[in-house]
Amino acid sequence: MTDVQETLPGSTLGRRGSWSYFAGRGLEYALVLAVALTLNFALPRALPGGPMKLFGNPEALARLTAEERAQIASEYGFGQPLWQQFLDYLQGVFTLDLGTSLADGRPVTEAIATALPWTLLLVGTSIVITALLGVSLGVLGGLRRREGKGAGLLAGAIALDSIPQFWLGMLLIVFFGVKLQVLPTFGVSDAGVVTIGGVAEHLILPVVTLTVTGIGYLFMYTRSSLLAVLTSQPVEHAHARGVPRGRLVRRHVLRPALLPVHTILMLDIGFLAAGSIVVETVFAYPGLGRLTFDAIAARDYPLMQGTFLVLTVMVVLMNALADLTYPLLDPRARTGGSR
Amino acid sequence: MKLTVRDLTVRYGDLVAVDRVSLDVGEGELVALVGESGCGKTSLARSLLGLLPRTASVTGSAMLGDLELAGRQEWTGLRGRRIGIVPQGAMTGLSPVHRIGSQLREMITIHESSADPAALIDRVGLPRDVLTSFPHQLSGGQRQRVAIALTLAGQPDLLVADEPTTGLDAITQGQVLALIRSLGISTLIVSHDLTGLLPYADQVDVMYAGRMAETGPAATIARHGGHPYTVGLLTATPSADRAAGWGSIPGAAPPMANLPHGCRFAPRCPIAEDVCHEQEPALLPVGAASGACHFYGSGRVPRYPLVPRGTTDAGEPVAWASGIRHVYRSRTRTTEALRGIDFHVGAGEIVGLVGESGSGKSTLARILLGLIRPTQGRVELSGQDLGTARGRSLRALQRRVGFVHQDPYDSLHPGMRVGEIVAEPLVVAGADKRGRLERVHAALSSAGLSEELLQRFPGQLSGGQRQRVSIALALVGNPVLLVADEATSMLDVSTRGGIATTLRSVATDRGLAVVFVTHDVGEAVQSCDRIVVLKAGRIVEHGTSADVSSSPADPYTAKLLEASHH
Repeated sequence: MTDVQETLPGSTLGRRGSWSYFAGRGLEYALVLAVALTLNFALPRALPGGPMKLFGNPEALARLTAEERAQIASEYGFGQPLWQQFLDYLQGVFTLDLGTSLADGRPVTEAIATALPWTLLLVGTSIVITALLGVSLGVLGGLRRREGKGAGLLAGAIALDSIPQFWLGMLLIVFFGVKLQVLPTFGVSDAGVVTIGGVAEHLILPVVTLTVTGIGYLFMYTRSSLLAVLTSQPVEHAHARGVPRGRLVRRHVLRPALLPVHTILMLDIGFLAAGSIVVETVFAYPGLGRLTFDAIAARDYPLMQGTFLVLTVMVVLMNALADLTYPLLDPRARTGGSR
Repeated sequence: MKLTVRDLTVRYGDLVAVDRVSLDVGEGELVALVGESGCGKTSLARSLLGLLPRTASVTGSAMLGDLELAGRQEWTGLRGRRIGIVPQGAMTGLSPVHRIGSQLREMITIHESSADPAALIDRVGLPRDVLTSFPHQLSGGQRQRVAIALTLAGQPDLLVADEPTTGLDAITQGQVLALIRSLGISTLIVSHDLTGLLPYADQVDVMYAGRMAETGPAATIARHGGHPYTVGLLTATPSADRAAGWGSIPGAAPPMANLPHGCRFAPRCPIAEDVCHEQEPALLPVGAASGACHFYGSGRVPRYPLVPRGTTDAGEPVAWASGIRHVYRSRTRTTEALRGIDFHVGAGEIVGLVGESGSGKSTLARILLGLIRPTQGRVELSGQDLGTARGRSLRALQRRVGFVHQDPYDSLHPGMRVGEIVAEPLVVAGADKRGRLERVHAALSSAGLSEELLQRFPGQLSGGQRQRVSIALALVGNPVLLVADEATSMLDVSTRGGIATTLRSVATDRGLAVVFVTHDVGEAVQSCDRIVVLKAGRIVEHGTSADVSSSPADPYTAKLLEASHH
C-alpha cells in the first residue's frame, strides 16, 4: 500500500459475492444440524437402563413372557434395527411427527407445543431483565473500576455467579412461599384458573432465580470487554484529541465494547429457550425444561428426542442470527477488509 | 505559535525520565525530538498534552504563547484546540465503527471549529470518497493522513507528532513527513529515526538517557561533526549507498534506575576520557548548535565499529526453491502470495529478502523453514526435498534450519533462564547432558554473548541481548540455514548494526547460509552479499548488493533506494 490512491473505499476486489457467502454459511449450519440430529438420536440410546424397565409397574413387567415383551417392544419400534429407527426418526423430524410419548401417550409435538409458550414467557422475561441489569451494571463496573463501587460490584457479581440455581430457588420458596406465604411456589396458576395476574405472580420467583444467577456472568463479560476497549488505541487517541469523557464513553467505548456482548447474549437465548431444567423443576413450572427432565427420568425416548431437538435447533438458530446481525453492528464485518 | 520549554523534568516516583530539558519550537517551525527507547522523548511529548499517568510529576516550564503547560491539571479546551496530537500507531488508532466523515465532524463539533470535512480531506491529500469509508478500508498511509486531518479539525496552534511514521514503509513515511511539513503549523515530532527526519526538520534535538545531548539546526546536525551520540545514530542508520558503511554503538542505553556517573553516554563513547566518567558535561554552544560533551567542537571524530562485508565466495547452495507459488485461501477470498519464485542461498552467504508488507517475503521465509508447504514448486534443503518430507524426516530437516524471530521481547519464554532457553532444542532432540552444555556455550559465544548471562531471565536483558539469545537458540542445533525475519526491526537504531555484524560472523565462521528478511533496503545493501527484491509475490530485482545499490534494474527498487536516501 504505497500509493495514497491505491485502495479506494468499498473495493470488493478478491471477494466472492455475498450470495455465495450466505450459501456457504448456510451449508455450515446445515452440517452442524445434521451432526446434532444424529447425536440427538444416539445419546438417549446410550443411556443406561431402558424404557421397558420403567414401563408400568415392575412386578407386572417381571411376569411378562419373552413373547409378550417382544410384542410390546415392536409396537413401539424398539425391536427394529437401529438404522431403521434412525430413518424413522429422521422422517419424523422433517414431517414434524416426533412420535408418541411413552409415558402418557400424547404426541410429542403436542407436549412440546403446550410447554413452549410457558418457557418462552419465563425465559423471555428473565433474559430481558438480566440483559438490562447485567450490561448496564457491567458498564458501570468497568467505568468505576478504580473506585469502591466498582470493586463492590465485581465482588457481588462473582458471588451471584457462584450461587447454584436450585439452592436459590429453594431458599426463595422457603422464605416467600412457606414463611411469609406471599407468593405461590409452584406451577403457573391456582387450581387451573389462568389469569394474567395469577401467571405474573407465579412467574416472580422463577424469574428472580434465573435473573439473579444469570446476571453475574453477563456483568463480568461486559466489564472485561469494556476495560479492553477503554485502553485500546482508538479510545486513547480520541482522548488525546480532546474528546470529553462523557462523549468518549457514549460514542467511542460503548459500541465496540458491546459487540462481543451481543454474541454472548444471543447464544444464551438459544440455550435458555429450551427451558431451564433446574429452575422449572424446582418450581414445578410446566415448561420445556421440566418436560425434558421428566422425559429423561422416564427414559421416554421420543419425548427426549423431541425436547433435545428443540434445544439444538434453538442454539443453531440463535448462532445464525448472531452471525447475521453482527455485520449490522460492526462495519468491519460488513464491508470486507481484514485490517 | 511558539513553544518554549525550560528545564522540564518528568519524574515517575524516584525515576527521573526527563531531566532538566529545554527546547524551543519557533513559529511555523518543524522540530524533531530524536532519541532511542527510554530516552525520555515520549514522556516529554506527553507532558505537553497532559497525557502522563497519574504517578508522574512534571516540574519546570513549557510555555505555549502565554499558556503554561507544565504541571497543568485542567486540560479542557486545550487538547485538540490549542495543541493537536498526531498519535503513534494510526494504523489501529481510528475508531473502527464510525465513518471518516463522521469522525471529522465529531472533532469539528467538539472544538467548535469552522473547518469543513471535505476541505480537511483535501488538505491532507486524500480523495473525497474517503469521507464515507471506514478506517479498515484504507491503507496505513491513508489512515495516518486521516489522523492528521482529525488533528487539523480543531485548528491547533501546535502539533505534537509521536512517532507519526512508525509502521509505515519508507516511501509512505516520506509522503507523510512532507505533508506535516507543508501544513505550516509549529510542530514537534518525536521519533527514533534521526536520518529520516533530517530532510524535513528545521531544528533537531537529540536526547540520551533523559538529558538533552545535542540541539541545533538540521543542516548542522547532518554534518556528522557534533556530539558522539548523534554521530553514532547517523552511522547506525543503514544507507542505501554501499560505500557509506553501517555502524553500531556498542552496549545499550543505561537503565534510568542505574545511571552512570559523569556523562551518561561515556560508557558507550569511543572518545571518552577520564573526565567524561567524572563530570556531567553542560550544553556547550559551538556555532548554531550546542552539545553536552566535554569535547564538543574539538574536532575529535568518534569511530564506531562497522558491519563487515562478506569476503568469501558463496559455497554450495544449501537451500533451493524453484517455481514456488503459494495461495492463501480463506472463507471470503484467495490471495496469491507468491507467483513463481526461484531462489537459492549458498553456504557462508547472506541473502537479503527485501519487500514491503504484503510482498510475500514472510511467506517465502516460512516455506524455507518448512512451516508451510507451497501450493506449487519444489524446495530443497541440503539436497533433500522439503515438500515431500513428513513426520520424523520433516522434523529432522526442520532442525537443520534456525529461525530468528522479529520480536525479541515476546519470542523468549519469560520464565526460563537463558541457559535453559538455548538448550531446549538439544533437550528435545535428546542430546546428552555433557555435550549439551558445550554446545550451548559455543552457540552463545557465536552470538556474541558472554557466559555470565546463562542464569539470567530474558526480562533482565536489553533488546539487543535478547535478539542474540534468539540467534544462539537458532545456532545450537548446528543448522545449515538461518532465517532471520526482520531480526533488527524492533531494536534500537544504535544496536541494529551489531546484530548484523553477528549474523555476518556466524555466516563466515560456521559456513552458514543466512536469509535476511527485511523491509529496509538499506540494511540489505549494507549487510548482505546478494539482494532479492520482492513485490506482490514476484521477484523484481536480483543481484549482488553492490550492483543493486549502484544500478537498480527495476524502477520499484530505485524508488525504495531513493526513499532510504541518507
